[in-house]
Amino acid sequence: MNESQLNKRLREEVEQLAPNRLEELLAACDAPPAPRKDGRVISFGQQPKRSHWQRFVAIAAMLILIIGIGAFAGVKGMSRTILTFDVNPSVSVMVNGFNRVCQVQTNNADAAFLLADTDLKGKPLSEAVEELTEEFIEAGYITDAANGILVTVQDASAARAEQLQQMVLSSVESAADKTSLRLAVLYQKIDDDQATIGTLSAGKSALVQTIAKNSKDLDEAELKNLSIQDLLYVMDTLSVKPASAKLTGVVSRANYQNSDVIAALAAQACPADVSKDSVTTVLDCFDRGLAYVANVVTDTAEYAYTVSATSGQILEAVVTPTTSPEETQEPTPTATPTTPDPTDPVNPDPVPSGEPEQTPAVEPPPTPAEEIDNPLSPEDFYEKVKDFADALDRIF
Amino acid sequence: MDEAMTHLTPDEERILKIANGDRDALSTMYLQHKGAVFGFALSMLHDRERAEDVMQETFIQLWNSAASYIPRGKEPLSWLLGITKNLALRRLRTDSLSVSIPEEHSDPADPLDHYLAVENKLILRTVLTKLSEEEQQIVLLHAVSGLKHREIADLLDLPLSTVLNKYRRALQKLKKLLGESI
Repeated sequence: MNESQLNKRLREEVEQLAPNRLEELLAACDAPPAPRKDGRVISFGQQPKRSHWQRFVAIAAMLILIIGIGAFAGVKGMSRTILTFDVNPSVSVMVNGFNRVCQVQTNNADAAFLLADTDLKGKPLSEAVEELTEEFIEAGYITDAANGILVTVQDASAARAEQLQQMVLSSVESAADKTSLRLAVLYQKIDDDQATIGTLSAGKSALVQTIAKNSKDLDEAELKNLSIQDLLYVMDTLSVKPASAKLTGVVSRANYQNSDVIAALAAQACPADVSKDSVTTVLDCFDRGLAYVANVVTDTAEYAYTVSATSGQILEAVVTPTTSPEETQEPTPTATPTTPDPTDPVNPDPVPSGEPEQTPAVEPPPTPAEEIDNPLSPEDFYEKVKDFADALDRIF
Repeated sequence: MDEAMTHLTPDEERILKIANGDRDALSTMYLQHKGAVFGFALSMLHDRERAEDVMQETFIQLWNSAASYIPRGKEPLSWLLGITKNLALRRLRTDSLSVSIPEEHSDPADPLDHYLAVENKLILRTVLTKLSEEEQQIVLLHAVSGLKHREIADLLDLPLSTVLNKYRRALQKLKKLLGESI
């Protein structure tokens, strides 16, 4: 029985047990209300009359005041700023000049599902952000290991962006303080006309583009498939934070293998005797996930192991020989054919004429390099790596 | 100008109607939520009769104090259960002070356990007899009332992480205890 079946049955059992005493309730509510005391009007006598001129001035002053306040409120209220929260659900809120949420947009299916029963519209921004963060936490999108939030502000001046940053960070912290989680928040301001990549939000697109621009090995097409936590991890590892962004908190690395561990795994998998210090590792993407490529170079071959950055599983192994194979020796020449003697009692079946007698080919002697290293063929090498990967699976 | 307006949920609209003396709205609220209120009261009081009384008192208080409810565009069930909680706590305080008169035919074993066994309510019986008090309340509030963990944390005045952990642990216990019998 799974959780939802268990809950359903529990609900049914309680509903069946709960009595129906509606009539009793309505009878109890039918008691007449307590009588109200009648009010009495107390007269203070006649009020002095104001002159028409004084009344006109008072009304005009009031109108000017009302129009002025209204205009100020109108201008302030009309200013709109967009804040987008990317965890993996992506939610955008439009905030007016009074720091109140006036519009909410869910940018993907996860977000739509998350906020199906929650309405942030009309709430003060601080309250809305705190509630949104709690929703992320409660739904399991933010955990100890996946503790990153990307907050992006658009349509705001630098001063306004900074003001909102303080508010947002404070609210996120308030939500996190109710749990034992420590969150990492990357707050960035982007241009109003930031280009988006596919269906990614403008904020996530901006982060992807920044990382791609500053990385030799990662491109946008690969990065766009990574989660926010993965992107923050890459950004942190490569130290490629966007110039306008501010990171508060520490990006969790709990889900990721240390590059030293990756190097050790590659050194162990390599058929050549190498130490992990001679292994170089590079962050990469593989099959829509984050990976490391660990390179080992020996005298005879280069080995490239693609290792999952999270599980440590070797996903792919490519070996490239660095020396050309030795040429094989030509076989020894065959014997000269002779005319058979039909009268030879020993060999009555003569060798058909025209076909030279074949001598077995002589295997070329091993070269000095092969005698020492004896590298495996690619097929044998792959089998060995596969066995090692299976062993790792059992361990991890 | 600020264009935000609070959108009322169906139950909030009913509460506004109850404030204006609408008995039909009260009846609807009662029939819809008596299970949730009763279940929560039962988890606090561990006594069917007292839980039923608190359930009735909750809706009487709803009738009397509906005018004081402030709509927030959210389902008011957690507000209603807050009334239940206060009434149950008051009941526990008064019952602990009063002298209990032993019933002539009371079962020496846990009457609730016996009652639930007779009624064949296996899962509820397991919840109320095998889980800790807080676990019972959290499980019943989540399963029967449909409250989110954050709302449960607010209602029971517990940290959210405590609610999440206790809920998970309670489910594991239930699955283990009920695994062989279902």
